[in-house]
Formats: sequence, C-alpha cells, structure tokens
Amino acid sequence: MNYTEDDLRAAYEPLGDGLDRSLRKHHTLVATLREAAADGRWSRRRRLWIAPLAAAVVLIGGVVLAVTLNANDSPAPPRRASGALLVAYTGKQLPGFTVAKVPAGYVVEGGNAAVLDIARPGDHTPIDAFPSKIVVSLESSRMIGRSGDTPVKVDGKPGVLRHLPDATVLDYTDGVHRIVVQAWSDIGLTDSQLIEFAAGVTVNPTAVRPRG
Amino acid sequence: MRMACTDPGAVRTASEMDFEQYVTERLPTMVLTARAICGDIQLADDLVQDVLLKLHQRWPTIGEVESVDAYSRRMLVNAFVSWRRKWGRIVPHEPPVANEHRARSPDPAERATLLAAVRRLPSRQRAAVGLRYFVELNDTEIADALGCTVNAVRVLASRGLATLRVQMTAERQSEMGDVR
Repeated sequence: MNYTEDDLRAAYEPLGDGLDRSLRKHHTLVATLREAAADGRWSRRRRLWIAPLAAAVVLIGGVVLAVTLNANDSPAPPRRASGALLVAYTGKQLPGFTVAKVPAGYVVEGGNAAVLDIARPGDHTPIDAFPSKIVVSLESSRMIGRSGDTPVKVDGKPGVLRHLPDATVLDYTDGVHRIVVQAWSDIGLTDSQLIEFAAGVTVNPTAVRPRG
Repeated sequence: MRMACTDPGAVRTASEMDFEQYVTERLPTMVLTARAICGDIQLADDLVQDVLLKLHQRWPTIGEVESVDAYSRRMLVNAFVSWRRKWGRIVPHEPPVANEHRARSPDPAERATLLAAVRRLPSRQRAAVGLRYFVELNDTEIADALGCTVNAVRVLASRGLATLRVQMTAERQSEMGDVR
C-alpha cells in the first residue's frame, strides 16, 4: 500500500494530544528541582558559616549574646525569596474568571462563578479550603484596604497587599469589580509575582459575588 | 503537527539564560521532540523527565554549548536509544485515535496503522523519520541529534520509509486475506 508524506505527517498528529498535561507534569519536576537546589545551597552555607559563627559568639561572651537574643528592636526577617515561577496557563478555564498565568505546577483546579481555585493537580479539597492554593473571588464593597495594608498598583489600578500569618491577600479593583486574591505562603509567590498573577485575571460577565 | 523548532531564540547558549528560563521557553518543543523520537506519549514523558534531571545537573557546566536545543535533542535521542537497549522487547503503548483526528483525517484507520508501523521501526530509523516528518527538522539538525553524518540520516530515513511501505503492504494483504 502506498502512502504520501502528508499521510505520514497526519499519522503523527495524535502525538500532539495531551501536551498540557505533560507540560504540567514536567513543570512540577522543575519546581521540585528548584526547591531541592535551594535546600542544598542553604545546607552548604550552613556548613561553611555555622562553626566560625559559633566561635565568634563564644568570644563575644554571654552578656552580648543575651542582649542580642532579647533585643526587641531587631529588624523583621527578610521576606522569603520567590519559590515559584509564573508560567503562561493554557489549560481549562472556568466560567467566572480567566487566568493568564499560574505558578509552575499549578492548574485551575476548581471553582464556580463566584470563586476560582488555583491548586496542584489532584488537589480536590473543597473550594473554601485555602491552604496551598490561590483563591480568586469578588467582594461586594468598592472600598479597598484597611489600616496597615500596603498600597500597590495592579495593571495601573489601585490595590492593597495584606500579609497574614499563612497567606498574602491582594485586594484590588480592575475598574469595574473589586477582586480579592489570596495566595497561601507555601506556594512561594513574591508580592510582585502575586501582582503579576492578578494582572492576568479577567472577570468574566458570568462571575458573581460569593454569598455570605 | 508542525513545530517551529529552529527559531532564532532557540540558538542561545546556557550562559545566556538560567535553567528555568530555558525550560519555560522550550519545554513544549522538547516534549514534542521526544514524542517524535519514540512515537509514544507516555514514554516521551519519561524521556523528558530523565533529560530534565540530567540537564539540571549539568547546567552549570554546559557553558558555551552552541545550541542548548541541539544539546537537549541529543540527550533525548541517547535516552531513547538507551531505553530501547534495556527494554527493547516492550511494544509501546498505542494511544487511541482521538475524535478530532478522525474528523480531519480522511482515512484515520490507515493512519493509525501507519503510526503503529512507525513504532515498530528500529530506534534510530524511528527517530530519523519522526524528527523529519513530525518535528520537521532538516537533515543537518537530525544528523546533529543522532550524532551521525547527513548521509547516514538519509540512509536511516530511507530505510525507515521502505520498512514502513513493506509493513503497510503486508498489513493491507493481511486485511484482504481476512476479508476473503
């Protein structure tokens, strides 16, 4: 039986299926490699510095050490460096919101017209369970922010950042809606990455405000 | 599936970007190249994971490799050939032909048979045919990936196509025999 080169090219077409699923799997591996590399660097630094540091502390003396340990005016620890990589999202979208970017290894896992959950594939926890997720929703009031929030701009529009013990909340407007994005800390997004993520969120006409 | 595999951005050295940046930009190409080389989606995923681990490990020392894409293609081919040596008797899983392909291919059954025949080719012939007709690399790029000369690529592809013709003819005769 004869076949043409076009037949041969067409025969390969099914190999283009399921590309998104493969890419998500590989991005998860890359994220794991990054975390492993970061842990390795910390271990090496610790080995290099802990012994000399301990010797210095002994030399300086217990009094100085006690003062250092009890000092209340020490600066806040620096914010954790980014542990995430934002990538273009080409997977399934849900009715309420459309996202342009997600952290590598994360997908639109669930939600409805009121709430959107970005989570690891296979994370089927309820949409009102927030750990290890980014949750997008609308708020009823147009007023944004409260005392202690940090003002930011999202795609040129006003918003505020709020740092909670386990999560960061970005409360902003797109000019029409008030949108709240909450990112759990273990995802590793920096503030600027969270703003970049939010700039890629589109509220669809079908979106509604959550009740309650 | 036709891929833009030789865009100017692809010819960058490792020192010009970091590992994650490279993977973010080039992962789709890498996955499709792996699928072309082995003809199987699941096996391609395994090959890509294997190559990503090695590439990550070697990234600091890759330095001024002329083209990271060409380098990763060679790694994929080597991973596939090694896999075949170890597990050569295993017949790759054949994915079902999706509805969308049925719609756009006038004779999907024959094309599914053709892809099955491709999967039975010897590893280097399969890689040469896949890189030429799925990834659409030129013979020089295929030669670089396979670590051989351009003439050798032509021989591999020619033998692969000849084997496919023989297999498809045999398949056809077998079907006609079944009908009788």
